[in-house]
Amino acid sequence: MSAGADSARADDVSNDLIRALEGALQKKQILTRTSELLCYAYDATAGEAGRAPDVVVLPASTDEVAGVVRIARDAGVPVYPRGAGTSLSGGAIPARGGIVLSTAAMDAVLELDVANQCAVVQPGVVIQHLNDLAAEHGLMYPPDPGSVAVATMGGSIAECAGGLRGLKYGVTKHYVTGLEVVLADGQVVRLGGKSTKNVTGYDLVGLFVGSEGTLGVITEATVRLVPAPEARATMSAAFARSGDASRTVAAIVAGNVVPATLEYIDATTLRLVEEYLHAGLPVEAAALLLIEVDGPPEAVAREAELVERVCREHGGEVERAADDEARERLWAARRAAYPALARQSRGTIVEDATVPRSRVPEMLAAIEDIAARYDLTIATVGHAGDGNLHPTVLVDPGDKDLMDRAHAAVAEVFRAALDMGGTLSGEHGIGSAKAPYLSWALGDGGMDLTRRIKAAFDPQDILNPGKFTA
Amino acid sequence: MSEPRFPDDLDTIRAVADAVAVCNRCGNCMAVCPVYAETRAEPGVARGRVQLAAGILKGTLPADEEVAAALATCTTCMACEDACPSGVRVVDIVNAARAQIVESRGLPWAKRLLFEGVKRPGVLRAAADAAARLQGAAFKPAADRDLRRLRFPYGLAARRAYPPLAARPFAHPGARRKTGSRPRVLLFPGCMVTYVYPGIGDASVRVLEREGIDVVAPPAAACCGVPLEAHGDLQGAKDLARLQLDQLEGLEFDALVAACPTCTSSFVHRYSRLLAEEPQYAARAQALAARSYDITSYLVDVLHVGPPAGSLHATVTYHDPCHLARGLGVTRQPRELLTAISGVRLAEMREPSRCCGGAGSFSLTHQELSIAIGARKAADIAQTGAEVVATSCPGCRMQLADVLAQAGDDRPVAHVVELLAAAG
Repeated sequence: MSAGADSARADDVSNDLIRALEGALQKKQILTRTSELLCYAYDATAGEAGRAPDVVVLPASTDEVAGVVRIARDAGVPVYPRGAGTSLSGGAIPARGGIVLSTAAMDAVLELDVANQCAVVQPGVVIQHLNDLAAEHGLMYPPDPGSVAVATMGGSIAECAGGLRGLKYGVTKHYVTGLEVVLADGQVVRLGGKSTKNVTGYDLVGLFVGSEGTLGVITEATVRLVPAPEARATMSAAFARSGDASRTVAAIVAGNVVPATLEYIDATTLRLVEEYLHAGLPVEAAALLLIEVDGPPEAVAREAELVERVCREHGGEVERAADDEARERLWAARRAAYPALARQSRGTIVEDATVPRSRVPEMLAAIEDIAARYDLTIATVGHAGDGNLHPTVLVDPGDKDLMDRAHAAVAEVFRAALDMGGTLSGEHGIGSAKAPYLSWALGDGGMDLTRRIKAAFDPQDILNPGKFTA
Repeated sequence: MSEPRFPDDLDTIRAVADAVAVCNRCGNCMAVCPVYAETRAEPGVARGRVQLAAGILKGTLPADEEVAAALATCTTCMACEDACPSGVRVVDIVNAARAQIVESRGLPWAKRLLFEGVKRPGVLRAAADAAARLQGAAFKPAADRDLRRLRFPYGLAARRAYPPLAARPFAHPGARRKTGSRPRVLLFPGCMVTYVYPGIGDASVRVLEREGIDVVAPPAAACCGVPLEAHGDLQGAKDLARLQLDQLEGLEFDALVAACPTCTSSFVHRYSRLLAEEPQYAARAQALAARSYDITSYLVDVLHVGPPAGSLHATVTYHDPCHLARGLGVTRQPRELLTAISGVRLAEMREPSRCCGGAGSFSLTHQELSIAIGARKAADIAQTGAEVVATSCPGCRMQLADVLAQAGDDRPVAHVVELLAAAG
């Protein structure tokens, strides 16, 4: 068959597809213009080439999602579920055309159940929006990825997002108790519910959390909320030697204090943040820890004291935020890490290899060594308390040599993390960017099991194909 | 940080391509974009627009009406630029892409006719005069308000209530020879003040004269050019920039002051950038930029005005115009002026610098979006319980009056200088 006939046939397929979709949705929920499709060819992952989908749909209800999936099933075309498209592992990028299914328009908080401390939400609800509503009742939804102001509940559940509070509060999977999911054949299933204890058969809810859209489309979620802490204390500790900082991390946790946040900022990042913010940060330091403890006031006072003592014992220069303004200044420095790095380069590869926290000092040393060997700038910030580091490689997607070196270095970072008993990803997921390395972590048996699970849920391979299950 | 990595002039495709490459698609713009909040679709937010602009400038996307329509949904409120971790200059990129579309396709005939008129002050004046006389035939007064609804309603236009064109445009004596030692201000009125809200011009004169300032007006009322640039007519915008610099050349004044932040930003930022490749004009534009001010900033930062003699007993809420708050970084000064008035209590609204959806001609070309964005603002205003709504932009004033009227809310809307003049 000639190329011309091939593309003519492809056009017929997509015309038929669009006609079928028009039977299930209103016209304004279907985007088909070249310019519109181009705006769904990417997510926030650097250097992951995507292609524009054939069509984008914006369903407004579970029935409409199910309708779209049934059409896709009958036509045998891929469906790429998409929240806000802020994923950092290529999870939302259409790998080979088909339908991008955006849940952005399903953005209602269906119920805020104060008695049961939970919320029932549609997938398009922005995480921050849920938190704002919860705060009115003295509650909070702890998972707080950096994209919290834009990322959706559906997307963050599908990716099992983490965040700064992971050390004390855990990650998304610790908060999802119920899901409504549209399966690959268009069937709608409701799993779990408001009960915090639930051992009814397989943990199917858990299976969908972090499944990256490969097993079904999340159309509703029930999540736990927790009381917002009454008090908190925030402090920074500057260290002349980075090893002292990372050993402090382990020592704090060994002292049976679990800070809400325990962030590590390396010298490169510190210097760039100071150039960007002019906040008077200790640029001569080799590393800075940002620590926040929260809880009842008396516990906060005790824990803050202990944390300060441990920091000083390890040579840290400690500064405690005296008021909200000072606290805000400290967090502004942490929040500026990404902007400061982003402004320094044309692209950033933000990795999230994670190790048991006792191995953090070793992991930091390994990253420094890898950066030097590949002649790269790798700035590391991270949720050191839970071993989740973000070595960030400054890149230029247009510079092939640089990108090649960056990818090779990243592979070594993964290898090092796995050798230390860690994982490929603490919170960004595998997607397409880390798919080539998944077998290193899972082994042949794990890969086989993964593929069999995928085949059981989605025999036609139409749900987010081309990602880690490929 | 060290050197700026991008040239100031986004006139060249290469420069825009560089600016586009800075976007790493993190999506933070989605949290603040007023248009995305309504559409929830990527082509309606900076991250998407930047990709479209990149496509046009690289030639991988046709510079056609379809893309032009997508780019036209940007209100240029700059909220995305504020939130962008990478410092992407979204508005410049969008305008460059719009210019590229116009360059390859030409302006639609209606815009061409309109902009040709705008470029000639005499024509603009004559057209506005004629329109002011004829408008009774097309508009019917909305009940109890100084706003008019279209008499022959069609589609959404029927829902909009516009103020009538002024029967008497704003006018003030032009620059005569400077005598005495009084500081002289050239008050640049701009189109909205001249033809729609001459009262803002009169109030500006009154407040400035009260401070002992000698106020003069430019020789001829002419557009600053922002509307042309926003519609991709880069050449027209440059013509107007030169016209303005030419007509102000040689005039004696200490400061140029405007009560419209969009006009002010032309003098402070745009002209030196637009005419960067014409050294003589660029130098004049830079010299003028250094002594151009928004009126609230001039009153507070330069004149250090004290409270007005009289009082005004009202709770006032203040809406930050996009081009003043983000464009010129002026947010403190209008609030200081308001709270200095005896009897005024300031009640802040939620997100005071969120775009009102007016955005110049956007309110006409994208009525549905403009009304939806404005409705949120009207709700935020209502929540404050304020009796009066203040702002510092005639365009915002028109939009706020309209969306409040649509919400059945009869709170008056005024420019800060009008309240200052009233309190004097």
